[in-house]
Amino acid sequence: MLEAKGLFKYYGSVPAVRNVNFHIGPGQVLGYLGPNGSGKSTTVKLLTGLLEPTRGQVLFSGKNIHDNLVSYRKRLGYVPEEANLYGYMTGEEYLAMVGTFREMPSHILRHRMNKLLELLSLAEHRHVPMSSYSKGMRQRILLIAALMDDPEILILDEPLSGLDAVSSLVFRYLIQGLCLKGKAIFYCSHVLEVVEKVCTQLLILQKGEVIAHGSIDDVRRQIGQSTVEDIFLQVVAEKDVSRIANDIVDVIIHTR
Amino acid sequence: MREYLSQKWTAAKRHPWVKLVLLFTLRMFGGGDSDSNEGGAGIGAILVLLAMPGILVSLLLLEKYGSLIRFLRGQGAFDPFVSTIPDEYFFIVLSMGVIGSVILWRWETIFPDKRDFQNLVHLPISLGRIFLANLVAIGLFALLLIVVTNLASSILFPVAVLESEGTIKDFFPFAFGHAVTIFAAGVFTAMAIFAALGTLMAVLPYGMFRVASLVAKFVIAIALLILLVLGGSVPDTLAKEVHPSGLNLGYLPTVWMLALAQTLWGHNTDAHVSEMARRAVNVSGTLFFIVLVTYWAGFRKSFQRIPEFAERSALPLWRRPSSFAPLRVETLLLTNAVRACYRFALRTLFRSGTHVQLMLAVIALSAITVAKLVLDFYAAHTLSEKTSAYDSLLSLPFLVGFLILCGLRLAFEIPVDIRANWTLKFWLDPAKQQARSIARAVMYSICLSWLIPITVVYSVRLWGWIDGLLHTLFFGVCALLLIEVLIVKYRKIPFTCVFPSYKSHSPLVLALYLLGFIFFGTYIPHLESEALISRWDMLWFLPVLSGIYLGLKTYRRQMLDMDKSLIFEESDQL
Repeated sequence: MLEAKGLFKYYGSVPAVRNVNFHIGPGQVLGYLGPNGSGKSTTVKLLTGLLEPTRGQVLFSGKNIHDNLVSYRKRLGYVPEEANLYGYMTGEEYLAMVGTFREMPSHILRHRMNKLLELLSLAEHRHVPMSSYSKGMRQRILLIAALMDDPEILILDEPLSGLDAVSSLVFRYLIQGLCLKGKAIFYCSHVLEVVEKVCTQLLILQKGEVIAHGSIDDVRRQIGQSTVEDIFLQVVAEKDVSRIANDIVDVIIHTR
Repeated sequence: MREYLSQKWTAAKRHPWVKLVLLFTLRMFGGGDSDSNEGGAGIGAILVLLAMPGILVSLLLLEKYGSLIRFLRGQGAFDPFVSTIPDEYFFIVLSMGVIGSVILWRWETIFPDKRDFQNLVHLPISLGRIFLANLVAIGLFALLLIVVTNLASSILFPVAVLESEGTIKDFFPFAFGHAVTIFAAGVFTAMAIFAALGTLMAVLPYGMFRVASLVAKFVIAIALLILLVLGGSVPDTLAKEVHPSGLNLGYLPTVWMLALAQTLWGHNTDAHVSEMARRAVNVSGTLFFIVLVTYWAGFRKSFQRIPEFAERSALPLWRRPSSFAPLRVETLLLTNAVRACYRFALRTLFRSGTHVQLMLAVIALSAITVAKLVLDFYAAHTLSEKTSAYDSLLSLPFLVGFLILCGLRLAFEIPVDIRANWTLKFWLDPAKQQARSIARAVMYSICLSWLIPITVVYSVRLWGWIDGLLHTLFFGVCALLLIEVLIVKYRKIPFTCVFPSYKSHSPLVLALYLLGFIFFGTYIPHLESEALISRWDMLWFLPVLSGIYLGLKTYRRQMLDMDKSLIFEESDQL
């Protein structure tokens, strides 16, 4: 369904992503991991068409997404890393705007918007400007905007950011439910525990290059570790994390 | 010595209180405001711009007061303390206008905001110290504005007046009186505005204060414009009256300041002038007291409650602009994308503080223009004056339309929140060239939807059905063409583009707008009034207007597609 084929992206002469390849089929969830600056957000922007690759292609159903970007985006739900929204708009106005861009019939838009606002506990805040929303509320608005047109693909960039424990659990089950309904999901996150529970595939990126890719069991076997956290630390961490933490404590306590 | 001072300054800067003062002061001048969309014109550039009007006007006056020019004009005996009164009044208005405008511009940065609260309150700094630092910063900000705006003219103007025929005996009292007066005018304006801000803050709940401060800004802008509009006529009126205080002009602070200058020059024998000079001093002193009291009261009341209110929209009154019936042109828009962007643009215009302020300024300017024309009409006595004033009423919709449409066009260039643009970037196809449809729809809704009906009503009432309808039709067509001219190269969604293009060639754009104002607001209505004498002459406009329309169409057709496609970022390269 969604395929990255030999993706390269350079900012000037600085490489951000180098030779990234993967395929996400219906009902699959790809967990996309990497430390800060590894190229995750660049990949997300390439997959959503917000950036064009320097080399390579992003294919949707075998076609380059840039051939008809607007039609591709109508089948895509996207939750960006940061909840940058027009603060003076109310939640409902923002969702109505997105629904209009998506060319959703107004009765369906209204019905789904009402239901989703209610289910995600935002109904009573719908007429309030989003500038007064908490981070979690803004994140939930973005989730509704991404889901309300029943997209075939979901690209989620740190979707749990700011969500409370209950909303995070709801979200975890939601991903599993959508996966069962045949949606293809690209899941970019730092929350390794959730990635382990919801993803069917794993891709780990470091300095723009893929260093591990496959089903979670395959990667476990390859690396020889039992959890995603251990896998991640083994392939990515250049230093002993507990030692770094102890050094920080030493600097604070003992330096005079 | 220099090294010693430098060391002292470096040491002082380390002091937390000095750091706070600098933080607040720099922000008032637009420094250290990285989140701002204003692009951060440097402090130096702002100060140079402030000094320019005083320098330029003083230099122009060198010629006026030159002995040769006065000889050629047949002007004989010259008393600098009497002959310079209109120019002295002008400098007072200039000082008040410039300082008032800058304070209105930087209004939002004067009081500590949520960012200050988040950064300062958890630190070991007392509330009193934050207040005092803010107050000192306000004082420094006002002082710097006043000095920079007036310093050049306080030296150059006395030189211009007295360089050819003056004596040292006259020079010093004249220069002293002039300098003190224009500085006092600046201080008065700054304190009047700060007192208004402080009183609102002290009296109103913080949420309501934000809305009220917007209204106050509008009122102050109108007051400043009235001062500017009256600037030319007040000295003449004063000269004709024996007792100016008996007139309503006695309530104008500018007149008090002029009286202060006359008193300081020592050439005043009129008790009323002395009374007004005293009023200038007394009111300034009272304002100073009000500023101190209300700021402290407002600060105590509001600052600690900032987190409860700061994220709320400052404009809760305009929550649903699209439900306003005349604005529902969206139903006529063809594509969903254009419709969504149109709603987005209207909401931004009605709710974003910056854009509302800009539009309020334009409305204030339009209101003053209309008031001036209508007052001229009623003040006309002779037949020729009446005919001229009657004709000038034809220009009303042209002037208002031009100001609002150009104001909108300027507002489109000011981005509202560039980080949130991803939603629009995500959905809009750059190749579809929808920007002009959106801009056009917004301009129709915000300006023509009410201006054309008003024009019909007043022109039919004034000139009867045929001329009234002809005038409205002619104005409507001209306004539509003006919109097409304004958006001929437009290719952005209003309020979204990162780089405001007017910055790259602003002097040229300003000159074009001024020329356009003269052409559209006065020349076209004059031609229309000539043509209306014999109505058939109006037909001459048909080929001209059609020609302009076709010219614009051809120009668009010849533009490259890449120059028409939608953009969200603009380079500052011309």
